Amino acid sequence: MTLSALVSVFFGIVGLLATEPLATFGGFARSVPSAGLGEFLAASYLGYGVMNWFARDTRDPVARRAIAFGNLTGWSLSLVLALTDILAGGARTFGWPTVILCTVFTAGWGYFATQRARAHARLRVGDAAG
Amino acid sequence: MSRSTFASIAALISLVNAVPALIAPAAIASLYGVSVDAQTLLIAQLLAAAYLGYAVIAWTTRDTTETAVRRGIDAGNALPWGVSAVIWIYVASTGMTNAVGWFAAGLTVVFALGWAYFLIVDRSSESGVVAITPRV
Repeated sequence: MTLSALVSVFFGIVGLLATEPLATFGGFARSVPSAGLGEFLAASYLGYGVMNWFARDTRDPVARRAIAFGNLTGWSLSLVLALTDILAGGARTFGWPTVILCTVFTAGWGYFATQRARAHARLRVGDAAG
Repeated sequence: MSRSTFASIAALISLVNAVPALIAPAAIASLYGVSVDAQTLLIAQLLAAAYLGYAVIAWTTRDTTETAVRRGIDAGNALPWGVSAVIWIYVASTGMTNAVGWFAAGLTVVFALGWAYFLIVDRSSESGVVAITPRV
């Protein structure tokens, strides 16, 4: 969670402060809509970073599961989109690194989401039995 | 309005914004009067994916009682909504979008203020917790 928070904050801050250099480095054509959307995306990553950082030590099983599933949703969909873009011939500087990053975090959050779902299910069974 | 209701509405808004943008980003862009290229569509879809994650988190944690988690979620929502509000106001006021841009600007301002309000409430309720020790 801490690692995910740091990665999200890094991309969030860099994306917000240096949208155009980042886009140019990534091989994106400069356009006003892409720069604006890039800033929205950076802001949302920053929010993920803040959320994961503050919630990293929580013991609340519902919150842990929710945050794991929320992050899994974002990362896994991003993985599909990045991969589809590469397969469609839109490979850029960030293409494969993005896919690798998304794969790592999808796998990580997928693992935690599964673990937390199982723990939550055990807790519910325990409550029902008790 | 309770935090639970507000978080539910925020989740619903994120979902309503995310699903169409994920499926038909070009159509959503044209709704705002913006023409986009293939690269911009990818960024729009990545943004929609992030919003879907927000919807899941806001919906599934709407009833959480742990103050630290609530504070984290409040801050994690207030920040992107606030930054988005600034960007939307700039974009709409400079004529980069049509009138629908002002609707989005208003929406982001409302949710930025709402999450900021609950952040303040949750912070003060946390600092207001007083440890009770028995008198000796």
